[in-house]
Amino acid sequence: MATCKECQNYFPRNEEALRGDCVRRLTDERQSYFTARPTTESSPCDGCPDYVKNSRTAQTQ
Amino acid sequence: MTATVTLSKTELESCGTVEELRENQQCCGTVEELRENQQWWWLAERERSARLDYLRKAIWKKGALGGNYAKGIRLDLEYPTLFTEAWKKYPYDPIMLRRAKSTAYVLDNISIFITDNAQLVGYVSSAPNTIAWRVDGTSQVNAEIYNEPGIHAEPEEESLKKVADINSYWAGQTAVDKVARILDPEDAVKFLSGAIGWGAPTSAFGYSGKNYEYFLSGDRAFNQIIEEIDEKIADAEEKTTGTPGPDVMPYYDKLNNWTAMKVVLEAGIRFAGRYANLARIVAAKETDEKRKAELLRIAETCERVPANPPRNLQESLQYDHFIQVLARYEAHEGAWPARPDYYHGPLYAKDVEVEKNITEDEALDLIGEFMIRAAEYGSFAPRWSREGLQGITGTFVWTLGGVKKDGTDACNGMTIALLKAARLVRVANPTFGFRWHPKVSNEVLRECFECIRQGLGYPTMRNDPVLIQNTMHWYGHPLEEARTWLHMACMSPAPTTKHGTSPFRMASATMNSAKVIEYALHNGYDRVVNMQMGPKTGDARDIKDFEELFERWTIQLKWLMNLLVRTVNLGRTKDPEFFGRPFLSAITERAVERGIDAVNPEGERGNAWITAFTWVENIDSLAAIKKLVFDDKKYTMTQVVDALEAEWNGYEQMRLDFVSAPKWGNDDQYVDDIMLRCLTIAAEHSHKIKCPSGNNWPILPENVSGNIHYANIVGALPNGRRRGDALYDGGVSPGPGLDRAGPTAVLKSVGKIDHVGQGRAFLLNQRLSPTQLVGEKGFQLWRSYIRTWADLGIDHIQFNMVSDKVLRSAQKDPEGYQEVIVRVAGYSAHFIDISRKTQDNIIQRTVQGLG
Repeated sequence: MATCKECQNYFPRNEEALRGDCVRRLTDERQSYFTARPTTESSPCDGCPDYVKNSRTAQTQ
Repeated sequence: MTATVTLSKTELESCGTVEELRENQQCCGTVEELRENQQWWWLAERERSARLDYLRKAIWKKGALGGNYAKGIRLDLEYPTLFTEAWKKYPYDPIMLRRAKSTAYVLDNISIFITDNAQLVGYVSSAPNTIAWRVDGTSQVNAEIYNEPGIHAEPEEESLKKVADINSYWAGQTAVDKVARILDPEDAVKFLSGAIGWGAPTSAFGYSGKNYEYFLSGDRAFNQIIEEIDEKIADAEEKTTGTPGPDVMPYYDKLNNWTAMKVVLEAGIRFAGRYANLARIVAAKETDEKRKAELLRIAETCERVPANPPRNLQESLQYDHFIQVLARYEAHEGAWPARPDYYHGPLYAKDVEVEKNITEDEALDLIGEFMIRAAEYGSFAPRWSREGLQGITGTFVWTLGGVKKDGTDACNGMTIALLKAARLVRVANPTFGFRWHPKVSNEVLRECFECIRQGLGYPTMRNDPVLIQNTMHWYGHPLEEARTWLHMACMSPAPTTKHGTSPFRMASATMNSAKVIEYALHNGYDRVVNMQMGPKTGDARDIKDFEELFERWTIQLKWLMNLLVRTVNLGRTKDPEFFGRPFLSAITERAVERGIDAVNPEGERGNAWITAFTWVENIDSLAAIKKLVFDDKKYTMTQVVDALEAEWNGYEQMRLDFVSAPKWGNDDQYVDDIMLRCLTIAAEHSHKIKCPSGNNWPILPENVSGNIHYANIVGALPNGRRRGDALYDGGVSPGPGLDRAGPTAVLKSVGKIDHVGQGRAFLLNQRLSPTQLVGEKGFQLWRSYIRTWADLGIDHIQFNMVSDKVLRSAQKDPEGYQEVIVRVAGYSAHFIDISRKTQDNIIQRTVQGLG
């Protein structure tokens, strides 16, 4: 089963092991923006419409 | 979606012929032509930067359009779900600590976002088009949310299920549920009838003053407050583990309160850190070097504030904005008391004028965005509130100008920048209230005038020397403290100091004053809600003279003031037990020092007031009866009561006589004496009724758009008004079209009021001619008018300066006039966002010619 850790949108937090953010770029009728929703690396992604298999090891600064 | 939204700045700049522009419902002509034609809203689109243009158009309208939410607005379900989830985890914590932990959980887990081109961040719910829902305020609002059409995200059934589950949990345990259980049942029923007042007696929906002198004076931010709290906790722990005694006992509660404050401050720092993190992630992907640098600056800013004091303008504005957002994660705050030029002025001067780290235009971008971020705010409001505050989300009146604590002029470069930015972004909320005093420079006054002339409806002009005296008179604020005042909501001055800050004001001390004359004429019976409301003062047909009528009016007035104040006093006293404000407490020096909830009145001087909606109807009604019944003896009291009971139906000639009777605002001593007498009675009673701090409850006549909300709730009145007709637009403003003797006569009538001793403040609306006030001559005319206003000791005035032609065009072609702003009453709104009835009411107001 796929998990957030394997998703391209997942960005781990350096200060919190196993925690990270699902970061996406969205556009609504008025604006474009980047959004971050907290998640954990083991959260299941089955059925998640935003899941994109990661081809990198996501790292933040 | 309209053309103004879809056109980019580049497209705007290259837009060609008038026909092409009109086809896109877009600005016509050159900048010069737009200026010449006074098409300020289109001019603003041309003159603002591409960034501000994008950000201005990016925000979703959260104010209700004539009472309904705009298409695309959605209720945020992340906060209520997370908050309720957390609340259930901590059932054994005292309420302050429970709220702090639950709020911290939300701040750690709610979705955040950064809008393209933004330099400032922070919002009160999870997505740009969402409105916040604070679930533990009142079950009535929760039920209304469930039934509100159009705001629930798809799949709607799933959203409604979540709302229903949340409502089931909170039913009976919201703050208002708890207050209602201990209110006198008769008071509760009368209050909840919706006829005599509005609001909710809880800080969940209050106006929270902010102790800016504590947290925004330059040397203190969250880390420094946490250090102060840690010292308090260490001291308290020593006491509670030391020699037992009665003096130790309060420390157990204080320890909980301090811990709660610390929990939420630390969560606030983490919340900012999440934005920093997101900005760094986005920056890493960004290919545009300029934007990349901006994102990294956002990250650095959010890593600096609110943890530590700001060092530059961007940090200062961001720090303030985080404070406002965090306070609104704790409660639905209906107002936004602020004094941005005074508190951000020093870092504006450092960055723009001294060190020249940024240009004036770059500063304007930041300041314009600072206003946009406030305009973006949205929280679900019940229908009565949406109808009473059409087009906006609360009364966000930011205070500019005034004097410093030592009495010298407080205006600075930031004052001018804010006034310029307002004309570029043209938001209807926040607006400005300008503290006029004799030392204000022509340069600043001209900027104020330009805003008014360009149709913003703000700044309102406030008479600083009068209001400082007023603040000292009613509450005993010392002079230096009184000089720090800002607008608590639309009108009322409140200091920003340790003992002067008013942490909480509930709108429920708002009286629908027209009911006073109505009840005096109908034996205290409300014919609209069919209840005995006021005292039984007898059948008005038996009234023999004006004095008897006035006596009955006085009894009804005192009853109404007493009922509302009883409710609010109880709500406020019990609020720390029923709701709790850990974040507000953490930014309030008095609360941090004493380990109490900021809402607890201990150590606060008190700054309460009763808002008096629909006040002038009393004066004109009493004057009409005095004249036509007791002086001219043209009609009898029996005829008057019969006509009113018939809602004037079948009495048209008589009604017209009552319409023609003397009216307030024409320098007519006959009716002006009645106004003064009524205000004197109210002021005397204001000194007798006390707030929990032991201070007075003066009245403050103003209206927002309550004149429309109450149109069907107030029965026919002796001023000739029929039930359903809009009430007067409020405060001490003459009825629309009834001020027939010119602008000086209006000022003379209003100037007869003692603006220090007869009430807290008095709203005065005036419409001026935009064509008369063009150019330098226009400014000089207006300046002379303001000087007369000030010399007469009037505390407030606000202007609409948009022509009937433009307003009528906007009614026909709303899409083409989206940024036309009008002053409604204590607030401004975009003209197209208010109901047709309110629009017509504004057009009916007399356009005064000066000179």
